[in-house]
Amino acid sequence: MKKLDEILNANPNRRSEYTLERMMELIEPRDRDELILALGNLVHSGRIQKLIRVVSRRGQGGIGDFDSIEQVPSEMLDSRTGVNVEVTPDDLQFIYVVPAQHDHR
Amino acid sequence: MTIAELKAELDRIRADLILIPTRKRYKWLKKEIATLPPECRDFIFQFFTATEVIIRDDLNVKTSTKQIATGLVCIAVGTVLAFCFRDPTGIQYLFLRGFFVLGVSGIAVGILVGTVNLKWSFTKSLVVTATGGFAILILFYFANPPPPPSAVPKQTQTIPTNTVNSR
Repeated sequence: MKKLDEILNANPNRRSEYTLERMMELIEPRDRDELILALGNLVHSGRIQKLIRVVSRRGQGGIGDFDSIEQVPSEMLDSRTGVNVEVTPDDLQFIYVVPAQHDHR
Repeated sequence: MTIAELKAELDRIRADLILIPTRKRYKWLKKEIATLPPECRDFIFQFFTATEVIIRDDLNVKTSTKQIATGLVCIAVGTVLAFCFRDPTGIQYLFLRGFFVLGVSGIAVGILVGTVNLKWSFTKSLVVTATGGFAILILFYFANPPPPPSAVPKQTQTIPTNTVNSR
């Protein structure tokens, strides 16, 4: 997981966000589950943060970020299309956030 | 599946998961997730790895036991052969060293899974980079190797002292 460490230290002054797929592309791990577990450990240790993003089906982008699944509404306004949409599990993305170093202080 | 159903599913899984020892959670969770719709499996797995302590030890324990056992067998074979052939020929020496090195690297891999990295520069253009067991194998094979046995049998090398004195 040396590559993972490199990614975490790549932009120390900037907040970075990664989906699992992006992490897979960057790290190319032997085992997908191992990477997910490693990321989970980093979340537990406080090195990275997690957020749940609702993605617009038409607009191809995030329309809302939430700290926990309980906060995700069943319906919300898609700001990219201006239409109220029903949120389904397909619209959810798990995002790993590498905070800027000054955010830790 | 709706968001409400997903939340209910997460609550149900969490209620059972927290009762399971951390080392057994991975297997249990994977089984549980396998029964859910494929489109939400990754999300649920990511969710629980980030919110609950889950340790995966199913693979490591099995492979390390196998590796240590194989390593011990190789060392045992190498040791037995080393005492069977007191004056090994070049090819016998090569195989003996091979057995010993395989044995040591097998055991080392079992104990130090993925923790050893080696970068060996033979020349400017030839650099060997190795990780884990292969690194240990290279390290043992090339670092401080014992001198190979002489190609000429020992008896022919010794000159009787009385012959030298008589000259």
